[in-house]
Amino acid sequence: MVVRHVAAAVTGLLVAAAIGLAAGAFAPEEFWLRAVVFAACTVGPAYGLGWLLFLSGVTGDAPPPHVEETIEHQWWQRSASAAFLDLLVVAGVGSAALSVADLELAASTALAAVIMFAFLDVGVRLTVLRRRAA
Amino acid sequence: MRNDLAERRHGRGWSQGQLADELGVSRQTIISLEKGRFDPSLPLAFRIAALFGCRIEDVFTPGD
Repeated sequence: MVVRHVAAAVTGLLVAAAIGLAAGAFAPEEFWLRAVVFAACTVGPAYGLGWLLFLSGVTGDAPPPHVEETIEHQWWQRSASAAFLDLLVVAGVGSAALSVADLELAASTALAAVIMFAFLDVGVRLTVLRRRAA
Repeated sequence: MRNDLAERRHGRGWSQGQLADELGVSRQTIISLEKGRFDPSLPLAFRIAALFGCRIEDVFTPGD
């Protein structure tokens, strides 16, 4: 188990370092600044990848054999599909508002906002469904 | 959809967790089924009926 934890941590560090180096390579005049900032910002998700590869199969309770027939699966499907429709509405309204106001928005900012909204929407919907069933 | 899953489970002396293990689903699924807040898929309904040795319509009845 210790080996798996070490492997997950090393994977996280290696992936974060690779992303940092790639980010630095795109702007050689600020190589180390970009490399360190990107590596620091991605080390968490990169460790998540390592955890997924080396630890997820051996920690925690195994899912039930018929997981697709559980109510948790139904909650997830309902939350995800409703969040997708919310996302369409928000993206459409936001796009229209930006056009009317003649405002420009960086693609990276817009994509980050879309991802954050989607995460938040699914999380809130999932929590509400779980609380209602409690 | 109404059901008498809780009565049948009590008749066997099973906990909700035991019934969940028998059916291969989560305990929360059993809780929601017994409260009538979750309609099972057809394969799950067949497994429930087979487990209690009866027909699906003996366990589940259409709600109002």
